[in-house]
Amino acid sequence: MKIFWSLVFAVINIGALGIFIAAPYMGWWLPKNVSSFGGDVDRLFYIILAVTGFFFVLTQGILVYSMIRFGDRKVEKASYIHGHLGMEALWTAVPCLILMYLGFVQVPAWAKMKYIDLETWFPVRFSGKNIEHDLDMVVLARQWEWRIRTPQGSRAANAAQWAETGNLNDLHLTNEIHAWKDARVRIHLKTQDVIHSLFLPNLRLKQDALPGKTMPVWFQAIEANVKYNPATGQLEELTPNGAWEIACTELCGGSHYRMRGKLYIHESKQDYDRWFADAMKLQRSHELNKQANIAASTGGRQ
Amino acid sequence: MSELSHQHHSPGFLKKYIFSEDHKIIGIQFLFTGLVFFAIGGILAMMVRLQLAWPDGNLPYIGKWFPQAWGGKMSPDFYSMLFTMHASVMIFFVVIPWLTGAFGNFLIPLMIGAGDMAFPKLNMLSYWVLWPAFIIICCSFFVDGGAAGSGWTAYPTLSNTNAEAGLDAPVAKEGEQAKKEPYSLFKDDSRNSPAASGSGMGQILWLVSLLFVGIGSMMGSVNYITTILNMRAPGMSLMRMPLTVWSLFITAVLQALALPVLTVALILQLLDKLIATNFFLPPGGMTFGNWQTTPGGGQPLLWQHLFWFYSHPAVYIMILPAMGIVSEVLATFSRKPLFGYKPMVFSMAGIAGLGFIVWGHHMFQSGMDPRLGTGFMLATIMIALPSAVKTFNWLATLWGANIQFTSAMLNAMAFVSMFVIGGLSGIFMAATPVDVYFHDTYFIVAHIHYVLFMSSIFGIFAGFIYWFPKMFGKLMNEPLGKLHFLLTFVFGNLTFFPMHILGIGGHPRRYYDPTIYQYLENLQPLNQFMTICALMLGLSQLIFVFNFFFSLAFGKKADKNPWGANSLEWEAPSPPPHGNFESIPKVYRGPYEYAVDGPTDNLPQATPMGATHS
Repeated sequence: MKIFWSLVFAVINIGALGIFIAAPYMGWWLPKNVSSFGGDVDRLFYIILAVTGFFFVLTQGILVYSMIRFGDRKVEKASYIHGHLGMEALWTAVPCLILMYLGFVQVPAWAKMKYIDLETWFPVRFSGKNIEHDLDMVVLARQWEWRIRTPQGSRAANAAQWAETGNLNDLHLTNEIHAWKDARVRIHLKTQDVIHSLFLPNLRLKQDALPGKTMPVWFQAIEANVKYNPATGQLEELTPNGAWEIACTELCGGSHYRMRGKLYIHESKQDYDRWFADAMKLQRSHELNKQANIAASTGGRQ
Repeated sequence: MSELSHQHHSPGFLKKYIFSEDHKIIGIQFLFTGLVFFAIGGILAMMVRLQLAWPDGNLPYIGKWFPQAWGGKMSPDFYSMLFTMHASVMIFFVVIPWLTGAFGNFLIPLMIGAGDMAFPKLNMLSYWVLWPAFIIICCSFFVDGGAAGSGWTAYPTLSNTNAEAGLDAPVAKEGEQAKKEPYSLFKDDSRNSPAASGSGMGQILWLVSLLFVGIGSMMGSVNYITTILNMRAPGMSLMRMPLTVWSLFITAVLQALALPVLTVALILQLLDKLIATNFFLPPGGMTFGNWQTTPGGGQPLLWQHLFWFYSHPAVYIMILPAMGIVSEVLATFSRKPLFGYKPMVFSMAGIAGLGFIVWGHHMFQSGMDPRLGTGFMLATIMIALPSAVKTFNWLATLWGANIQFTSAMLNAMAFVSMFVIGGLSGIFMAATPVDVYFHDTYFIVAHIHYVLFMSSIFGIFAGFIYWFPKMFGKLMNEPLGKLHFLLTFVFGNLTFFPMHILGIGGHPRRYYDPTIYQYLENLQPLNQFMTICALMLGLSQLIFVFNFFFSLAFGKKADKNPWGANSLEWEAPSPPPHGNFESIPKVYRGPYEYAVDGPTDNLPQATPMGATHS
């Protein structure tokens, strides 16, 4: 029997390892990263994967080996041993050092993504250097869609004020985030009803929207996926089937799953501006729509 | 207490089996009710899986269960209710009652050599106070809007927005003041929620039900702590207690310290819902469609802090006793002393202590100050250390052992194997930048199921099989036990392991229909595969249920100590009479004296034979 049970444990664990090895080839892996800090996230993921993978193989290996080696032994007694201080010290100290390394190695990437100085509105890592942002954006979540508002000229003069009140020249979109390659985008993330969570898998970006608060979020895309064609008024995909999507990752009611949006990264600022101008014209021609949208995207509190 | 154990009176049936003050009967009562809710929770889980695999609906036969209005399939709100209630039932009505209720009650007095609990009446009450909870949670499925549907975490403002009376009235025309009726507790529509249909009356009942569960757990905790500290048999020093007792003791302390916080949070949310107190509603109010709530004055994030301050220790409440049980079973069937008794105790205490300062790791993306996130991350990652120490000690126990492949032992070894996976996958989400991606994806679903199902439940199965002879005087059927183990182990892994892969693919949790996303298209075959395995996993549990009742009726009669184990419960007859021991035993040594010289390879704690192995 011991061979059978050892095999059961071995096969399950080898299978577990196998699916991790096969997954990238099956297309069951991290979506393509297109953000400036996404590379850090992926690198840290692989570091943790390597460390945990090593300990997975080590511990499961010892377990299965013990089952074979020490199972149903034809001996009178097992060995009488209550413990070993040296071993305890070893398997306390080594994991401790590894875990401390794993912990501290995370800090810079986290700071880069989330430590946002509310004065300069940029990660504290960059403050002082006074790196300017390129694009302001309000993302207002509600049941069950994302309402996006961007100012004329990409940047708002008094962003904090603008995020609350809006401006008649703002462009309003639903479920579409537009930016351009290498633009540093700051998002004022809000919600008008329940908690939602803005998730852009390709940007390795996620942030909950809290009722009553405006959450600071930023990203910089390092790759483009669309080009605007002024002749047709259509966005042309640079890489077919390369849709980058927006999802909600905080339960927000029955249609939580339907908060799907799309991320469009234009190849240049000129391309974005051309698109913006046409989109603005289209919006102006729907004056009534605009009124309704402002009311909704400021949560009715102008 | 020895006088008590000698009162040989024969109480009537009602007093003996229903309103019993005997800790053994109470433990078995927890066991049976847990089994009922395990079935309910399992069915809910399988329905969740069905929806995920075939989100278009049109399921053969099953489609007919749903109202015509839903188009022969589940509605999204119904789906929210399913996963909310699956988690709530499994956590609050299965795993916690089984571990602390069933094992805690049954084992503590027996293992420390006491006649009963310190407060038998309170003990009885700790079970019967759960009955309102059972009834309320079952009723909640049938109220208007269905059972709670805002996740087992019940985050405001989804969970606690209460519609004022008059919400269902026609919306006022522009410029006109909306007609408002005075708020009334007793008007039906005052319990509707504009946020989600399952956040109305269902949510209120969920809150009330959990309050009762909390009260019951608190009564249990007080009892366990008192009993363990005051009623140990002579010679049973703290450092001679079996690890199961240690784990239940630490769990009781955790519960006693953390539960009040949950109770407060539940009451606050209940007040929010019933009398519109706005503890968790934002100052600016909210807008649902055309309806605007009145301004609140609270903070949605406050709930998350309070909730996780309890619920993070709660996950240790749901794993520590299983660790204790597994240590017991591993040592017995290794026929070898448990490796590193003291490090095992200290690491459990370490897990419990650290458990109080890591709740923020559930909130890295919540809008909490990210600098706090860094602190919580470091504390969380350090919890892997005592967990690693425990794992290595279990493995060292097996090293040089003489492993007996009984079904209890197989379940215990599976616990070790699966706990490694559950522990390691936790590190990904403890790391803040990586968590940005993995937060609220299937990776966390994989993690929680590896810890709570694949670990805790295997520990529980090991415990049931191991102590079944003590509970009922009969042995559970071994071949059936092994078959059940094999199927559970295989299908459990096939169900839950691919969830890691879904998580890496970015599949969000709690999605009614993931197929509308392009980036998730590739993952759908996995979803279907997992569902088939989940159904098989569910069916496999029927073997356990059959084995349980079959063995209860026709099992081989067990003698006092069928496993050749050392701890005190094996000194009592199987099953032990009221009062447990003929005379309170004396303890001479620790509980893990195996592989010793003598007529048998074990030296029970109560055998007064030299002091060669102290």
